[in-house]
Amino acid sequence: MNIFKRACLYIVRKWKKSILIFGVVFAVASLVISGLAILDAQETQSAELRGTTGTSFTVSRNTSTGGWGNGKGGSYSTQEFLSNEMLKNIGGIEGVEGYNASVKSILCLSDSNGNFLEQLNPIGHAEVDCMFYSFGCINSEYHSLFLSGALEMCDGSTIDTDISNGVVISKDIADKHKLKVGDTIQAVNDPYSGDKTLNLKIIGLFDIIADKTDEKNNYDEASYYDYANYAFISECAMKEMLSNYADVGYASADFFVNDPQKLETIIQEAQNISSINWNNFVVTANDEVYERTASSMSNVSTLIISLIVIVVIISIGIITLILLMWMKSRKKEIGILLSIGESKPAILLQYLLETILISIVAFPCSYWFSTLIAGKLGGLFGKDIQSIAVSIQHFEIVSIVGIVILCIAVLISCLPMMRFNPKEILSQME
Amino acid sequence: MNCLKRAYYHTIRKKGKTVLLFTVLLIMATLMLTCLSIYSATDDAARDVRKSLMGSFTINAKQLNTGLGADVVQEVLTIEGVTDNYVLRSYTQATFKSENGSLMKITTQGAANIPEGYENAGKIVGNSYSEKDSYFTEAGFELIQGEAITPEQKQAAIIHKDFADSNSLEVGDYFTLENVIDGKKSVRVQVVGIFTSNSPQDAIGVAPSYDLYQNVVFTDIKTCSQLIYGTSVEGSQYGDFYAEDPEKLPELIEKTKLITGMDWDNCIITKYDKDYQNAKAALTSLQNIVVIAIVVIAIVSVLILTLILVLWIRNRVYEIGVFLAMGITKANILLQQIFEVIIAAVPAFLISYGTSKIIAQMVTDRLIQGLSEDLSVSVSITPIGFAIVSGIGLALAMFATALSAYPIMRAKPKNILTQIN
Repeated sequence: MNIFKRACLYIVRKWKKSILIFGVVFAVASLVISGLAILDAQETQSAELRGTTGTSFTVSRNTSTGGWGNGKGGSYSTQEFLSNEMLKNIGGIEGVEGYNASVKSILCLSDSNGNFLEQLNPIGHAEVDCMFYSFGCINSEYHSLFLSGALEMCDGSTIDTDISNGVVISKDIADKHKLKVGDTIQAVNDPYSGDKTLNLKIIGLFDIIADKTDEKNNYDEASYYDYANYAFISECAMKEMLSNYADVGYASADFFVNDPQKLETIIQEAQNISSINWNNFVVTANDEVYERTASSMSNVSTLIISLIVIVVIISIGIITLILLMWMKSRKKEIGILLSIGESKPAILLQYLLETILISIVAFPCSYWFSTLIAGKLGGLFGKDIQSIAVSIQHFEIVSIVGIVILCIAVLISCLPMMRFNPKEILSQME
Repeated sequence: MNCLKRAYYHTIRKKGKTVLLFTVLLIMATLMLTCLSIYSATDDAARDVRKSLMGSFTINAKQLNTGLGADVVQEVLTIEGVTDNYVLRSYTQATFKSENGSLMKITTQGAANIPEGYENAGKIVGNSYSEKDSYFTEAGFELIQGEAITPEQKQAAIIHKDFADSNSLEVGDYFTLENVIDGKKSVRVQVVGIFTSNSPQDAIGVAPSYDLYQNVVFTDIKTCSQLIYGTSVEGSQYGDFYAEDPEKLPELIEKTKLITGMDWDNCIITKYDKDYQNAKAALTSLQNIVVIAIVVIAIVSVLILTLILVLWIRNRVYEIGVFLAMGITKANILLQQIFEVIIAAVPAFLISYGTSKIIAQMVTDRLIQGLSEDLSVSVSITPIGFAIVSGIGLALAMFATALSAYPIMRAKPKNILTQIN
């Protein structure tokens, strides 16, 4: 009788024991497969959580290494500005989610017929009442006012480089002048000079969330303008309107990263870009929120990882224990097989085969089962359904490592019996 | 022979099986206890994340005649979940007068205009902590001499270096702040510190004279209150309060609005919890992952346990048949089997308390502990958790025994014994 046949016969004959082993292997494999899927989901979610801290780095021109010039507005730095190409290069580094740089100016806005648009609360001087505090933005979505939640888009889209003549204004101003997304307005930097007047298309409207009446931040020029009188404009339109002025450009830019853990590497990579003269620019990291929360965030991860590790270790323990008990109860059988002349390796092989045969059925079942429970449970929490995904890799790892561990367990449990000769074993029995 | 005695003999006789059952129960109980403790530790860790994300709300009571009264501030602080840290702020303008009653000089170069009546006036910033003011945190102000304004100080002021120089003021000197409209509201203050501004003011040419950096004076809340509201009441225009847990912010704001004696309709309450709002979804997902993990572990553990018990009982069909034939009642036999499980389970559960404590300590050692007492997480086994696991574990073991015994118990002894062979 060959080994394979004997193994099959044993499984069928001792079906209760086979079911027990099957059940335990199945349950443990399900645990481990689900555990691996949960670890993966944990990793993704933790990275996402870290990403929500809005960690960024700012590249700004180094005014201390540049010269100074004099104009009608006082002295200004002649240090080089950040060019669009530099921004693109840094923004292209992997891990940079998005970036923004803005040029600000006070623009005079008027409707398509050239009539001044009045501010929300005019003071009565036509030239002052049409002044809007404006930002020429590369990507207004990443403008600090939107990121901090002070302003929120309520209609249309944000400003980015895809549009060359877009403008986003406040809903209050739009309502006051009966403007809507898609309408055209005019803008000019200084209506009483040779500055260009441009037609801009309203592509979005924003709502004001913050309490601007709070005087907390009234230290700069922006504080003299109500948020309602702010406007966000395509960067190239802004640059065109300001083409008569020398000191126009991006003094600084903010780059937002996906994962704050990679902030340093990304900054390193940026500083390796040789086309940028880093002597002229300084980089500052903005990761206060992450720094503050990092340790408690990693505690959540540690707890989940520990949980899974404990479960896996204990599971392996259970399997080994049960196999050990099983083999012990087959002492008599080993003695008989040895006495009828079977070689020790052949007996061992038979036992290994039995375990493997059962596992081959149990592992796919547990794959199916973990997909069912982990996936279904994930589904209970709504959008998490994708976050816990049992993948075929998990199955492969568990199958291969699982079979190896099972074989080792069988070997270990057979070892004490294999050392004896059949006579010793059989006489030990009774 | 009563069933208890029989159960004892069976346990002793079948040592191997008893050890197996004991070990399985011990492992399961340890696993479940560890799961429970990790679950509650994750809750704590998530709470720490929320805490460190911080959340605050600002009461803007500028429109009220007497502002945000000191008594209301005290009441807000007694709301559970509001931390003891708070900042009160007020902003106004005041005319500066020296000790001999003469008007003091202000900087006017770069001002858009000098409003009438403000020729010798500057901006007054009342803040519980001058160092937390945005002039210091954002606009590049820096204290170069003396000390900052703190809640302990009374009738104190810190002034710009240029203002100090042009009026020959030094730390320790006195001058008077006078309400621009109502000259009767005035406070004599002592210079406790001198600051300077490191970055140029971008509002040059736009700002009125009193807003120029050189003319800004910081003072304490009480002084500011006297200047704005007179001496009878102590109030401030704005109050920033911090929540222990940003999740509770809306609740705290609701409770704040219930405080009587304030015209809340004319106040603006703004909550600041953008960081928390951003992180909320990801954090909840992480917590849900723990729940899922524990549910999966619990289901699988129960499955294994039931499976082992069921197979174990099935092996005893013969024994049951013999007992029945001897005239022992079915209830008695069942009781015996339940006792056997209990004999193995009770020590298993007791020991699991110790084993899970060791595991919990190992996990705790791997955690990063916060600097402060209220930001520390530990995995600990609670008596309640232990009671839950033991109770459920025992009930489950008994249920599995009864379940597996049920088909055998239904049959007659004759049928059972003939079935065997």
